[in-house]
Amino acid sequence: MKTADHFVLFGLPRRFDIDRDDLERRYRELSREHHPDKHARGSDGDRLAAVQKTTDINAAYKVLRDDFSRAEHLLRRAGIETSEHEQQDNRQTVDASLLTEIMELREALDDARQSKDHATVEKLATDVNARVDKAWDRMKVVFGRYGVDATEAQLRPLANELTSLRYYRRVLEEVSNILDEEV
Amino acid sequence: MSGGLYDIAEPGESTVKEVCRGRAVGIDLGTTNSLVAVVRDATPRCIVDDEGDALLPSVVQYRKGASPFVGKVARDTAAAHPRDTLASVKRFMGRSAKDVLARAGEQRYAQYQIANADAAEPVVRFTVEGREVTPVEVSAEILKALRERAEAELGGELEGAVVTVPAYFDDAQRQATKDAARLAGIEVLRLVNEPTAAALAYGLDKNVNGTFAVYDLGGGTFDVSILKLTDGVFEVKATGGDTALGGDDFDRALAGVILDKAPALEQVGGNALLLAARTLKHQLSAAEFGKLTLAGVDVTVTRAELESVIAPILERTGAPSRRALRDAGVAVAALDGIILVGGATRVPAVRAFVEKTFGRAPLSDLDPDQVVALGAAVQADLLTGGSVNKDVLLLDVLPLSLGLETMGGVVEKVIHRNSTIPCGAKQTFTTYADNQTGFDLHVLQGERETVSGNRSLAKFKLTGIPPMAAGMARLEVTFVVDADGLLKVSAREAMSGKEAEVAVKPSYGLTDDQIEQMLIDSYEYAEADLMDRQRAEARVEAERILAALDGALLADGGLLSSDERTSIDAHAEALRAAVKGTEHRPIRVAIEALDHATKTFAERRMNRDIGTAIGGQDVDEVGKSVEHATGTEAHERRAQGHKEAPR
Repeated sequence: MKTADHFVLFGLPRRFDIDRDDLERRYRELSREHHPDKHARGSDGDRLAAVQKTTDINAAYKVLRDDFSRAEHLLRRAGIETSEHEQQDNRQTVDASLLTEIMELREALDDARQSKDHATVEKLATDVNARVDKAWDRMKVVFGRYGVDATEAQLRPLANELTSLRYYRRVLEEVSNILDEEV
Repeated sequence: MSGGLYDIAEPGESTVKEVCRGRAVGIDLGTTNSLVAVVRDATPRCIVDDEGDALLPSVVQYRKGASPFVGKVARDTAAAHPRDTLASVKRFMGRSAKDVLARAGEQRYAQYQIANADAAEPVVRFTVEGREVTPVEVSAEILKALRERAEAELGGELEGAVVTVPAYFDDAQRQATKDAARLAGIEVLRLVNEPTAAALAYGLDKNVNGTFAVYDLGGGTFDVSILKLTDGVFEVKATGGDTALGGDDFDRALAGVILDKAPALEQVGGNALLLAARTLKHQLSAAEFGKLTLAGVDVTVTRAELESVIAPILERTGAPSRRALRDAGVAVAALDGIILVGGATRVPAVRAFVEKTFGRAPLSDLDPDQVVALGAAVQADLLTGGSVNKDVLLLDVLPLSLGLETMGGVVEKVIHRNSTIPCGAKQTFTTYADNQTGFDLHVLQGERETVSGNRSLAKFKLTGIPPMAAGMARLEVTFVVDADGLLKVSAREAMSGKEAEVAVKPSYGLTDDQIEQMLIDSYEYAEADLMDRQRAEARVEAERILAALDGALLADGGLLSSDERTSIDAHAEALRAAVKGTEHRPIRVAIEALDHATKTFAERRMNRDIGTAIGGQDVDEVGKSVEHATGTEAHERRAQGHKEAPR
C-alpha cells in the first residue's frame, strides 16, 4: 500500500532535518483552517471533509514530529520497508547479533524488575539511550549526505539502524512500564 | 493514511444546526455537582437557581407517582429515602454491575440497590421505588433539570450544549454521557474533556502562551492533562487519570474516622454519615478543627486526622501525573503553571500535594467548581459562530489506547493513547486456518497487553469470506475516532473481490431508534431489542450459509443436474429475499428450506470426498466429521477436506 507523502501536506522539503518550531507553526495553521470545530456550521459534506482532512493532518504531524517515524517514513518513500509486518512477509531476517543484544537487555531488565532494583533499571535505560544516540548519529550522517532525492541504494544501509532503534525503543517502553509500576 | 478511511463515517452525525447565539450552553455533568454556563456579552458565566446557587447537586430521588426530584431537595431528603436517592451516579456511567462491584467491592456501594448484580448485562441498573433505572437515565434527569434552568434564564428552547466528560473517560463512558444528553432532549454540539475546558477558561482569561498542567480532582474522577497554549491554540500533549477517584473518597475516609470515634453512629446510615463527613471536610478547608452534632452525638475532627486518612488517596494521583508529564515529554521544570480544577482541590492537603508533585504553587484564581462549565460555555459559543475569540482552537487527545484481540488473548494496539483527535488507523490481519470464512473481532481499550486487563468495547463478526488458504485473506480493520473522542470500527476483506463490510457501534451505545423507544416505553423497548437481536442473528446465519453455498456451487456445481441446480438457486433466492425483511421467522424458515433442497448435493459431495480422501485420511475420522456436521455447514467442511486431501 502506497502511503501519502506527509511532507507534501505540510509543504516541507522531504528531508530528515526539520525545523521543529516551523513544523509546529504549520500544524497550528493547518488545524485552524481544517479542524471540525471550524466547520461546525457547514454542510454535512463540509464537516465530513473537515474531519477527514484533520485526521490526515494529525497523522502526518505525528509522523513528522518524531525522529523515528520521520526516518521510517523517508525510507518507506524511497521504497525501503522496515516495519515488522513487511519484514515477516518478505521473510527478511533480523541480524542475529542484534537479537542477542536485545535478549540480554531484556533479561537484565527482567531481573531488575523481579528484584525491584530501581537503580539498575535506570542504569539500563541510560545505557540503551546511549546506544540510541550513537545509532542516530550514524543515521544523521547518511541523511545529511544525501538530500531530498536520496535513492533506495543510498538509504538502504539505514534499514538495519532503524530496526535496531525499533528494538531499543521497545526496551525503553518496557523501562517506562516498570517505572510506572514503581511509582 | 488514505482518504478511504472515512468511507464508513456517515454524514449527518454530531450535527451542529444553525443555532441562535446565546442559546448554546456549556454543561459540566459532575459526580457531586453539575452546572450550566452561557456566554453573554463575550463573557462566560454560570446560570444560577432561584437562590443564586450555580451548583446543582447531582442527586436524583425517585418517588412513587411523581417526577423525580433533582438537586438540593433530593440531596437534603436523602436520609429519609436512602434507597430511592441516587448520588454520584457518574461513577457508574458506561459500566456493568460486574465492573462496578469488581472495581470497588460490594461494601462501598451498599447504599445502592443494584438490580442486576449477577447478570452479564452491559449496563448496571438500580432498583428505586418499584422500578429500575440505568445511570444514563439518572444522568438524563440531572441534565433535564439543567436544561430547564437554562431555558428559563435564556427565554427559549436550548439549541445545543457542549457537555464535558473526564479526560480519562473511556469510549463506553463517553457514549453513555452522550446518550444521557440525547435522552434529556439536548443536542450535543461536542463532548469536551474537563481539564481542557478548564484550560480554555483560564487561557482566555489570562491570554497566555506556555505549557500548563491541569490537575482536576472532582467529586468522583481524577484527571491530569498537560497542555501547550500557543496563540489561542490549546494543544493537549498528554492526559492521564483515574475515573474512580475523587473527593467522594475523602468523604468516605472521613466517615470512617467519625465511626471510629463514635461507633454508635453506625445506625444513622451511610448517607447521613457521608453528609456529615462532607460538612466536616468543608470546615477543615478553612480551619484546623471541624465540629458538628449528629444524632445527638458531638463529633470533632482535626485537619491532621483528615490529612492522614486522605494521604493514601492523594498518593494515587501521583503516578498518573508523572506518567502524563513523561508522555508529554515535558519536565516539571518546563511547566509555566499548574491549574487546579474541581471542588476537592479546595482541601489544603491537595494543594500541598500538587505543589510537591509539580514543584510550584498552583494557580487557583478562578472558582475550581465553575471553571469547567465556563470553559464549556466558551467552546459552545465558538462552535456556534462565537463572539469570544475566533482564533481559539482546542486540539484534544484520545486518553486510552484502542486495539484488537489477536491470537492467544493478546491485544494489538491500533491507535495509541494521547493521539490527537480526530484520528484513524487501518490494520491488516490475515487468516490462521485454511478456508476460514469468518473473523471474530474484539475491540478493546486500555494499556495492558492482555485482553482481560482492558475494557471490552465491542465484539463483532465478519462473515461470508470465500474459502482461501491460511494467510491469504487480507482483513482490513479501520478505527476512526471523531472529534468527540468516540470510536467507530469497520472491517473488510480485501482479497475476495466482493467486499464484506461491517460498521459497528459498540454494544453499550444506544441508537437513535433505541433512545426514541426508551422515551416512549421502556417495556416496549426491551421487546424491540430482543426482536432486533433475533433478526440480526438470523441474518448473520443466512449470510454465512449463502456464502458457503456459493463456494460449494462454484467448486462442485458439476455434480448437479440442471433441474437440481434450478431448485437450489430458487431456494437461495428465497432466503436472500427473506433476509431483507424485518422478521426473523421467515429467515429461519427459508434457511430450513434451503437446507432441505441442498441435501442431495451435500450427499454427493460427501461420497465423492470420501472417495478421494480415503487415500490420505482415516475413514473413521471422515465419518466423524460427517456426523458432526449438519446442513449447509457440512457442505462447507467437506469442501475443505476435499481441498486438503490430494497431496
